[in-house]
Amino acid sequence: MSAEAPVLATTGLSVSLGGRAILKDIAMKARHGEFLVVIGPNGAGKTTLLKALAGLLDASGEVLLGGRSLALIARRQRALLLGYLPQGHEFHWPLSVLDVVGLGRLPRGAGADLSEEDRNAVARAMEETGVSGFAGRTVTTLSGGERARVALARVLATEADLILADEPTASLDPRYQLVVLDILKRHAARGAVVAVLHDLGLAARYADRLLILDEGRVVAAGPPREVLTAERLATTFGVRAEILERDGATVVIPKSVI
Amino acid sequence: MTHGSRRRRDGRLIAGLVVLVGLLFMFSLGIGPVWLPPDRVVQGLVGQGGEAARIIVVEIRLPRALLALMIGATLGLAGASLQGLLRNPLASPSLFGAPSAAAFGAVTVISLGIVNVLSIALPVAAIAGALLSVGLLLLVAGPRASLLVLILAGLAVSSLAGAGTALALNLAPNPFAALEIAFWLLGSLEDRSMRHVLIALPFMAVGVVLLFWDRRAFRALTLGEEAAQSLGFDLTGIRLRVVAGVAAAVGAGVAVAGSIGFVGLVAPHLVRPLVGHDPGRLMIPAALSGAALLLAADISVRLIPSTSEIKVGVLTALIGAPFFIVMILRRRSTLAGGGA
Repeated sequence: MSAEAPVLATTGLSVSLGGRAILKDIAMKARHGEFLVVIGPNGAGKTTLLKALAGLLDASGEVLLGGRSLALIARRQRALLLGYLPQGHEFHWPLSVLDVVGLGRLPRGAGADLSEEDRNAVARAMEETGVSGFAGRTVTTLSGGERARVALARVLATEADLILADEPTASLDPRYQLVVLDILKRHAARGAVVAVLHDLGLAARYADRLLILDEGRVVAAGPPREVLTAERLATTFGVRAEILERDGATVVIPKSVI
Repeated sequence: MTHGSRRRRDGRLIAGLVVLVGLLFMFSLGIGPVWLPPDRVVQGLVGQGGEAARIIVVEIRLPRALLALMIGATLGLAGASLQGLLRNPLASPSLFGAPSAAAFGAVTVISLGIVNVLSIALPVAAIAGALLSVGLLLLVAGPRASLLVLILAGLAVSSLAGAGTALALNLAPNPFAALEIAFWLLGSLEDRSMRHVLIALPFMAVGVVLLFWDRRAFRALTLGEEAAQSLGFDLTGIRLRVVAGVAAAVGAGVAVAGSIGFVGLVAPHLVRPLVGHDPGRLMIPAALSGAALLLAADISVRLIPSTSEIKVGVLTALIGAPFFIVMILRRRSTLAGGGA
């Protein structure tokens, strides 16, 4: 595999749910070391795209993970290659934070007792997300920001190179939004991250590249300063926005509804 | 809290429960119209205490105690699996109408005169009934069903099974047949033979294997279905195994003892805090807790003074239903959202 081969790529990816076409002929790729952020209006198919990339639903077309067809990679192997962080950070049983993060080691064969290697990976993930301080607390009693970081730590503990994160900053206060995105950005530098975000400002600041979805199609892909134009925001999101360059970063200020 | 002590702590819990089940088992062999102290029970078991003791212990009381142990354990395990799959502590085979559907299956083949009560076809019919109910329920409710939908679907399924059984009772050709059918509704371990144990055993063994299969997946399901899938678990396979396992375990139990409810709900609940609420570590303790509960219930019906012996299924329902109500009350705030 050459160094330039994308970690993740799709060709002609289409998904229909309940007879309705949600994704239409998506071609996209994420390279090694890249933080790819998917944006788009509500209902554009962002979550569906992430699920299709994770192999969680039936799709036509092809998803290539490290150059191999995702459909041909065994479930267990797939779980070692990509970590998926769903929306909402749900925890159905009142387990301890340590136990929840330890679930990330399941694809590596971990049982209720973790091996030393598992324990180290869990400790690193908890350190990275800053949840070590409440390892013994019951996960269902945590605040939204704490739960989000525990959910992220669980994904990091898997030690998959590629992380797919669906709205990892939803319902977080400004500080935790930055905390979570900083963690994902660091991980992207080592592997790759594909994340769905709603905040255009954060998307512009953190993304190496943006993928803009609208009505199930990719309408633009590229570095934020190239794809975030006033015209694009008007046609895709239906908003008038001001776009500024500040300290080398793109700043988006939505002004009014069109 | 450290990771290292898990297995040892679970081991101690399991050992404690095994001792409890062992004591209840011995007590169950000793109790009856003639009280036999443990030494006489052991003598009877090995055939050294004379013919009377041997007949009482081995032929009359041993099948009863064995069935209580087996049925209780499989019900506890079935409850723990369903709760793990659905990520909800209120799920249980009874809630899904599995025992009533199994009873309906058994009653149907008996009232149609197809088989006699000691035939191997009986558990097959009961299992088919249970399979139909649990499968129908998961089909109606769908994979992402809220608890409300599950409960309503379960109510519909068990009402349907109940109506079917009532119809069979209604059409019963003679009072004896009606009595036979009523037996399935009450649930009892009285007057069972080793034949009953042997009929139920193979089906239960299959059920136990199926139910144990996915204990690691139940842990992953703590994070929701999609996260569990992304961790490498096949949800379709898990659902099929749990449905088949619950049907085999419940069906086999109902075929030999009638409908015994609520053990599957209560047994996992009692031991869950002792395993840190971990749905995977819960499995073995839940099975042992189920065995202990049913043995204790079956001992109780022999101790409670009454004109005729209270059926054990009646007792578990009398205790289990209020327990269920208390569980609902305690979770009222979460349930009020409708989602859960």
